[in-house]
Amino acid sequence: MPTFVRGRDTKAQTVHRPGAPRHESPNADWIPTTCRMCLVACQVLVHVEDGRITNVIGNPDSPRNRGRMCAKGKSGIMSHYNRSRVTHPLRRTNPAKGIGVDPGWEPISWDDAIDAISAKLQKVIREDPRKLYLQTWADGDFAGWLGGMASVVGTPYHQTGISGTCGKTIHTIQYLTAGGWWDEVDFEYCNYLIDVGTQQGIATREGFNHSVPDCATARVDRGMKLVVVDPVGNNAAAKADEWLPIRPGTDAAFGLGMLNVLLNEARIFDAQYLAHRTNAGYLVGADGRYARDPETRKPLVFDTTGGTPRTHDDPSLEAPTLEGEFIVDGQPVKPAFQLLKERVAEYPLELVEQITSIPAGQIRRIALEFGQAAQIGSTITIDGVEVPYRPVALNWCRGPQGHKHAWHHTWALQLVNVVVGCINVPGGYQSRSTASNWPEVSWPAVGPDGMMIPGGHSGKHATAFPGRPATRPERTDLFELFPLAAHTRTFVPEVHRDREKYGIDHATEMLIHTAGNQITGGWGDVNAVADWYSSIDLVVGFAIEINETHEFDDIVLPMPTYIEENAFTDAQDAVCGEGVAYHVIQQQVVNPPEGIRHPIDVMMAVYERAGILDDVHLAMNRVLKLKEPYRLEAGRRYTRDDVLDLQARSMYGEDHGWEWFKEHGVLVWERSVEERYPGRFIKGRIPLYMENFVDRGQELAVVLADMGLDWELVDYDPLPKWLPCESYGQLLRGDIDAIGVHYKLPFVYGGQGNANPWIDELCEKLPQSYGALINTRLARERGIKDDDWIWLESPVRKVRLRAHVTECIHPQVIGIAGHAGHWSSGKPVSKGKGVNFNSLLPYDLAHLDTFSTAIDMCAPLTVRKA
Amino acid sequence: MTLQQDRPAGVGPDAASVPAGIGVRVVLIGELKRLAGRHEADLRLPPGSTIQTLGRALGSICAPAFEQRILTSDGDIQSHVAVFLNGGQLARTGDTPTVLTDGQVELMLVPMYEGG
Repeated sequence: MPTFVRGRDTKAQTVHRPGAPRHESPNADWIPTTCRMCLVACQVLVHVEDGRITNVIGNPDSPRNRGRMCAKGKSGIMSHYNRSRVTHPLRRTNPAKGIGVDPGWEPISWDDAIDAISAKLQKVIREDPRKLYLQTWADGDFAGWLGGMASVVGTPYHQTGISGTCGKTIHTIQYLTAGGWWDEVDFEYCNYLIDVGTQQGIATREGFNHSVPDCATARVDRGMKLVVVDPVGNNAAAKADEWLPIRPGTDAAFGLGMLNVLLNEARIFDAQYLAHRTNAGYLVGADGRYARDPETRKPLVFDTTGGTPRTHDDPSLEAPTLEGEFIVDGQPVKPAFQLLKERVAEYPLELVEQITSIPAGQIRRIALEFGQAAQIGSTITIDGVEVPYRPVALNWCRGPQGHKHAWHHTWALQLVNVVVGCINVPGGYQSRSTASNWPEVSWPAVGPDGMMIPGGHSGKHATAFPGRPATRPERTDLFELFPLAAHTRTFVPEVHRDREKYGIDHATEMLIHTAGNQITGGWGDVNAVADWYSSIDLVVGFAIEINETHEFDDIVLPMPTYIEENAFTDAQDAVCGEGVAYHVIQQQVVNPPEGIRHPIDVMMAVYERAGILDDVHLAMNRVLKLKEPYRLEAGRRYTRDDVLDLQARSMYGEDHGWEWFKEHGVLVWERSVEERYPGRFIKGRIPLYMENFVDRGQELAVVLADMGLDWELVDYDPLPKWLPCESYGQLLRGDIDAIGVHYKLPFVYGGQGNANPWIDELCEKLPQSYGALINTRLARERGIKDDDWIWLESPVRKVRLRAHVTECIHPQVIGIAGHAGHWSSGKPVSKGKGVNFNSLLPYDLAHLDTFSTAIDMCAPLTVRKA
Repeated sequence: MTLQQDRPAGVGPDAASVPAGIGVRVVLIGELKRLAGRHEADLRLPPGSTIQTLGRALGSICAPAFEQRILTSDGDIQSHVAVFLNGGQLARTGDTPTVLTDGQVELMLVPMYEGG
């Protein structure tokens, strides 16, 4: 058993805030739970007095946010007391569906709703389970209960995210290089951070209620340098030491330019790490494949001591050679690292400047500073354990993965971290949930070709290694045609347009979704998306308020707010580098209004009437990893609290059941240095060269040719390169005035936004929240002054909004913030304010990445004064 | 379609023709059942069999779609398919492959995390 501690007693870098007492008085209490105003899910203490919520503060016992909370969390009270709340089941009476079409809601009983849903579910299961499509988002336990049902009935369609870009490469590359799910920077030791298309440590990303103070402390106490590379001079750029405005869709070129400086000009790279911890030394032939031992098929390397090539795991191997050219079995081969050097040499900084618009001298200086700050070869002793010390990180996320060729944009950036050896070591680029000794032993292990395979701690996520052989698709999301992608939901409306073209023999007939807003946030052109939703026979949505997606529902079911519901899953976590891990819960602080039921209770009733509840229980034993004697039994019926107690005790033992968690809110335990900084303790190498891309691409080419589909396969290249988006060429030819990009505001991030009156008030006070950022130069060319109304037109939509003329944006870019542009009458506070950015995006094959399925988030715009 | 409760497997119909080994009842859940064209299979496998052995055995008796979509080119079960032996999930990683024992093996696609 580990050592349990209180979160506020941890040794980590902290900014503690005082908490508040439990059981304050007979009619008042501070109840620990989890905020769900965004996906960060900080722990909070909610003050309830005489059954009313009067305050929300951060919980100091949780290492995730250490007593801090943000403006959105505070505004949760207003989301809870939402005057537009749905309070009883509704049924659509208007059969017509479309943007802005009144559904004609009428109230129905829960019995009628559950009858209709279960009858349809039975029909779909009987005919073809693939007609069922499920959509959830960061819904904790509910996502699992729907997924368990999907596993049982046999539909492959269980979407657990909304965004058209999130997870397209970030989690895939995380698993490949760092072994975990989410990434953070180790601010306790980092001295040099480059944020590319992200605001890590300043305004966004998971855990920002601890990463923001930690980043500030690093900058003030240690002088950590922050460089922000972004088209928008956003919150992070405003705090940065340097802001490099980059032309959208050129991140790969920036990364390749940095790599060229590091590897070829300055020769700053962690040779030891690359030789022993990556496949940099693996010998590659002219066909792009490894040279392999004829008997064992293991990849070969040359040792620096000379002699014949050996397998990568030969115990006599001293150090694989990283550079040069050799002959194996009469064929020329080169180490993968040599090939990488040659590839990045194709990107001299003068070319990179042309592509990115960032001056060559600036890139060179930043690369050299980064390389020198990495302190390659140095070590640090933490709690008696000596580990490598690499106090640098290049962090990236949403921006670079929102493009065609998303893989190459993000892989080029990640390789900057790989070559200096800063992954999962003090000061560097960390991955959460990589390694765990308790309550489950979960470590990455050695997979094919000696490469690292991540452990299962964070749940399954399809990975890019080794990938899956392509086959003719049967799925409406064409999962089979993306052998290296994590998920492919962005293709669903495209396939709906012409199923015959893709050989798909079924259509979606029933869809169940949670409160996320797929229509406005999941794809591009909303008309294409609306077309798909309109075609579905029965759409069932759980709702707190009616959003734009609910307007396509046939049945709406009211659900509790996060302050009214319990959850246990998806809550085990650790702050990168910190000496503790923890498990938090979400618990019901007040009862929901009369008549509102928990979605899991509703679905259990549906499953019972459809005759599949027992099977779902047995599947949930697997999904929840319940151990004996805590497993659900066929034939028994359970309340939500029953299941939560079984989950808690199965995971943490008899002393930490559901009642314990309700009282304390968070369980914290110490973890070892090896768990905190697993980089050099992980078995298995990480890739520098993606050899499996060769086979996966060739297999896919055969399938596509057989199907008569002419897709470009240029992305199936084992080494990174820069490839332009459609809008890049349009901009340079003068076909468009600017590329529109979306950027995040910290108070409108990752979930509930300006439908909340307090968040709306912030947006109104900061008028760029609802307007468009336009550079002074572009504004002058178009005769636009600050606060003028302007027209922005893309190939799919024309919108009118106010201009905010500023130097804080790239001259060829228009910036649109937040998640505004709502039109639903169910969101009166936000209705008609701002612009829905996604609606400007063309949605077609030319704007979908045929490798990762990312949506190209560059909006090709013309700009005119209104 | 009804899932079986966790219980030890019996001897399969082809047991008499196979030397003594381990008896495994395989239950295919959900989409896997559809691809395999069957819900269950009773197998007799050699001692020391691993998940890969099981995959190859299933590939020889299930519908072609199972081999095409669920098995790797080596006949192994793809990593995104969860494998449970007597209710406990088998590790798909590790230096030493897990050796199967008598019992019930379930193959299931567990819900995958996608992202935000």
